[in-house]
Amino acid sequence: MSSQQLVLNLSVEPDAVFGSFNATGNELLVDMLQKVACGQGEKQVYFWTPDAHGKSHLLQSACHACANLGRLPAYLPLKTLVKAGPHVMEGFESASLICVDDAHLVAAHGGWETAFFDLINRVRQLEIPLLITASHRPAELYSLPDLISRLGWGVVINLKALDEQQVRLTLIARAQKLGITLPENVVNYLLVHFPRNIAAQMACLSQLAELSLVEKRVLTVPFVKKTLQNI
Amino acid sequence: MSDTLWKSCLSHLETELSESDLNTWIRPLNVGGTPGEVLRIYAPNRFVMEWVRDHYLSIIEKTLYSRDEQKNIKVVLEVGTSAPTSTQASEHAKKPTQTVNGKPRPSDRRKTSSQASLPPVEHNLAPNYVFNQFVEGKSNQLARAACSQVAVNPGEAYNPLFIYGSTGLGKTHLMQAAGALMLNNKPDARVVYLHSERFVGEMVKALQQNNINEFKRFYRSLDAMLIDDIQFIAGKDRSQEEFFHTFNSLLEGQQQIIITCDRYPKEIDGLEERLKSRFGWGLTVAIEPPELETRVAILHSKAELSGVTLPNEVAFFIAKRIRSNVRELEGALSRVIANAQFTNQTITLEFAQNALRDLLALQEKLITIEYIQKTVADYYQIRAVDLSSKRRSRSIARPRQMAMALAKELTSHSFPEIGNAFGGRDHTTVIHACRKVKQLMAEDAKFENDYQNLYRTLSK
Repeated sequence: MSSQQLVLNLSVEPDAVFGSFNATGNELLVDMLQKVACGQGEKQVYFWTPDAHGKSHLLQSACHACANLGRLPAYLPLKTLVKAGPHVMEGFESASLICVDDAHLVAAHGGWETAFFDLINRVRQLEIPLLITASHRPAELYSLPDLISRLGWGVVINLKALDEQQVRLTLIARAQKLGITLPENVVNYLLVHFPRNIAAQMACLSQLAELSLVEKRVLTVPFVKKTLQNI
Repeated sequence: MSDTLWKSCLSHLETELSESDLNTWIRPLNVGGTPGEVLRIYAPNRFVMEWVRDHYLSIIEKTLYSRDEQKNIKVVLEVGTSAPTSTQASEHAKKPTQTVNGKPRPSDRRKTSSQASLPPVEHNLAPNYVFNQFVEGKSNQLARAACSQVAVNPGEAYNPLFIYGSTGLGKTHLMQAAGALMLNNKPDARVVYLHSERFVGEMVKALQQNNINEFKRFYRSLDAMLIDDIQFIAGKDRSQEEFFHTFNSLLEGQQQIIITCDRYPKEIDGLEERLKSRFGWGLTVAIEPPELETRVAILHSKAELSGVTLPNEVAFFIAKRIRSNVRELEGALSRVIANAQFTNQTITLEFAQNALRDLLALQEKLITIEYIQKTVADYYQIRAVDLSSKRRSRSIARPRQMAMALAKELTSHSFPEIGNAFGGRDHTTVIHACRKVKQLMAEDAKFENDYQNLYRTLSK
């Protein structure tokens, strides 16, 4: 398989909307986020999990819902922004909703923790809703007591993993949306050979869907085996 | 006009860019400018501006220039907001938001004629931070009384008023309540609340933009300056210098200063001695962690504000387990209320226990008897094993009693379990230790101070 074909972006990234998120086990959190995106309910929600269970998807969904109402969300993915330094957290006071993704990446960095603390103070003062994701609870990550205390101000909640059956159903539903058939034995193969968290499984499916469209092949275990080994 | 133009441009960009890129780089932008001539695009900060310039400016221009009527429009990208100001200080001044009662009153005797002509300031006070929403208890009554006094007689009663205590105990609430009462009594008073980090940020911006004189004039013109978490100014020499002069100027003019900090002035490392000394010129008051009854009252008060009836046993259940600060109490209560509303259930003890299961499991995990023993041993500079030994000298027995009392207060272990963890002692020994600690706290200020220090350290 040539890498040139892989750069064809066939828009197989899952749509970051609440409707495409399997909320099983996380119904309360998703309900809260939907309300916050519309400017109702909680002023601050911090949700955490060390694994890839869809934290970014949920933040993106909140931004999407907020923008759909003609409001202006700001999404701060710290994975990308961390290289810019703590000042990148400044100036978002005109946003209708602020979403800080992967907040654990700035834990234990003095300047960053202070900048994060300052951001919370400012948005709280202006009553801008704030959504935060991280790998662990605040007290397990940060060293600045003022920041830990402010992160505990709103709701702190764990994003729970989907069980195997739910991951299976989510994969099949996503495949259907992409217009491909995902046989049972292929799902079994993916679940045995790749991390069972939803993000890893969706990433595999995206790659497979892209290649199956490019090569005009149906998804079979030998094809999946060969393809994913090459990637 | 600029807004309409930007909205149509945004609609087009929505078809070209990913949702993630839009939310990170494009939607946080603001616009302004002269209709038909210049479209000014303001980025929240330099990094975003540079990123937009390097990755999206050409797409934005292409989108704009695709329409005939906008072919000659000039696009300017810069850092700022849609109403650019020279400094944040002037931003404080731009909105006439001091509208408590909305009645202008005659100028104060302390105001000079030039002050009288100053524009109104933005006070930054939160509407819910008022005295009647503050729950008073033994731990905070002195600070509350001092704030009320200051609000009634600003610049006269206690100046400066320095409030210190751990995070999340209500310092900001009290300070802002004092500011709100000042404004209520005198709606045209120039009261500003700000965080010390903001003071530093605005000063740096003023220096960069060559506007330091405007910055100085603004802060020195205030009737009351409420500055939160002053410990963040530590180690920032230029900011301390500027704050020192602002402080002196306000004090000389009998303008009120209220400062909060997480520790006693003398304990702030990296703060100039002259500032430490001046902070102690007025009144210094402490806020301690709220005792159980106050925590229960806080929960009832917050629940009432949310329109929810909280059974007493639920309030006691939460308050017994979350002891360190009020923010965490609020967070736990929000969790219970959100859960009840989502599932449409009544809040009962069992329901609250379920809703907070993971949160409380963490609390239990963080504060173990072993951790308490280690912390107390370190504090008294003895070995942790001595606490479980048979030794009965006072230098060991007192820390042991202290550790036992803290274990009873901070964990849910029973008296027998605690006794067992201290070398297999009987539960009556633990009961005696708890009584002894209570008695010593009432009689000996140093012992009480030791207890409070350890309690704060352990419940952080």
